[in-house]
Amino acid sequence: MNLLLLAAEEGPNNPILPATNEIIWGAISFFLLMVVLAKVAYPPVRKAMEDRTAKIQGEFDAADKARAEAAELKASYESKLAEARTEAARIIDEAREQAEAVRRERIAALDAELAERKAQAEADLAAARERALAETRSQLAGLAVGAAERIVEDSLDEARYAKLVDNFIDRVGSST
Amino acid sequence: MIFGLEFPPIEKLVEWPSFFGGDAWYGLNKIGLSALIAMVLTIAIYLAAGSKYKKRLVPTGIQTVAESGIEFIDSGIIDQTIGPEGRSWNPFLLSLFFFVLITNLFEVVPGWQMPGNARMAFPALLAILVWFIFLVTGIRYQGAGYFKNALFPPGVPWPLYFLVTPIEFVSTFLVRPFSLAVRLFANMLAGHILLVTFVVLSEALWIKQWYAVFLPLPFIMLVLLTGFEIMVSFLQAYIFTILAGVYIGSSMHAEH
Repeated sequence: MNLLLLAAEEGPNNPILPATNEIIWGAISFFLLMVVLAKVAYPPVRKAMEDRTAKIQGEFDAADKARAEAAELKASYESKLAEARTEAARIIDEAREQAEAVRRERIAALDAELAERKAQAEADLAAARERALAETRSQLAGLAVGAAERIVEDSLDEARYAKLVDNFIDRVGSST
Repeated sequence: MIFGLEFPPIEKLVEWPSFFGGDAWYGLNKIGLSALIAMVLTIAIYLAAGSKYKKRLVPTGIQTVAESGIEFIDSGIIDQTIGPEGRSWNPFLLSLFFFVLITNLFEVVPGWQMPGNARMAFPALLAILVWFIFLVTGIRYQGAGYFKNALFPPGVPWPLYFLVTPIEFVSTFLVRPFSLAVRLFANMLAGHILLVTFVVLSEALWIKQWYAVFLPLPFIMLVLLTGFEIMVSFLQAYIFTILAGVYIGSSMHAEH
């Protein structure tokens, strides 16, 4: 109510109505502020802010790109590593197979040689035995005949003598 | 005289003699000087901030103030009222915000203690400027259709236009600048009177009488209200600027 009454008052001391000199100074100040800010003071700050935003965005983009490249590189290395591992395993398997084949071959060859040598030895042994037997037989026959002739004064007939010797040899042979 | 208190008449609280020029139209008083200081200070902040970027791009000190002002107008006002396409309004709204804020803050500057906007001159000037700008913007963006859209909002049954159109006319073209100016002016004047009241109370109790023990009560209130008025200064500057944004935004986009 007071304010309304005051507003109705005329004169320079009215607290409600705007004073001319204050409007003038306010207008000068505000328009100067608006123009100088918009044309001179504001653009560099705005530009710096935008530049910084762009710079940070650019750095983020570059980092993302670098990360993607690194991931790609890693994937490629990993695939190469896996390939190398498979290759190595394959080579080892192959070597193992070859070694196994060589081993088997060598064993087979040795087995064959061994068998041959064994057969040879057995054959040699049999031949030697045969020879020794024949020798022994002839010597024994001579010895037996001589001994018999000396012991028994009378000589035996040929057929009976041969039979006697054979019987003796058989006995000797079965006992060895 | 109320209970022995000498409360000065309101015109004494807001009238300031000119430093020069007397009662002439160019008389410069405390109010006019607060406007000049607001202008110089704002320009100085932005010039100082702008000159520092050559050395480093990371903001420090004054650059933070300048950048938060711009950021605040961008995200707090333009994005909310006009939309991101209205970023070119930033310098104007920024000027408006800093001008109102600094002239308001003179309310609590020791030795000054007078908000520039507790006088009708600046609020009226700025409100009329905003009114003019949103009218021109409306015509620029929508042509004559701006008045049609503003006075005959689409989607209203035609008989209602008899009611709606006068209301829209009064609220958009007459009340807007008036309410914008009065809101700022009345809030700052009320705050100023409130502070003066507690100053007068505190001063009256500064005596050699037993009731001087009550002196801390109005003084504590005075301190608290000074803090409150700082908040009001920011709030009123924000409200004035965001309403300017709302009006400009409503002129740029036809209402749906």
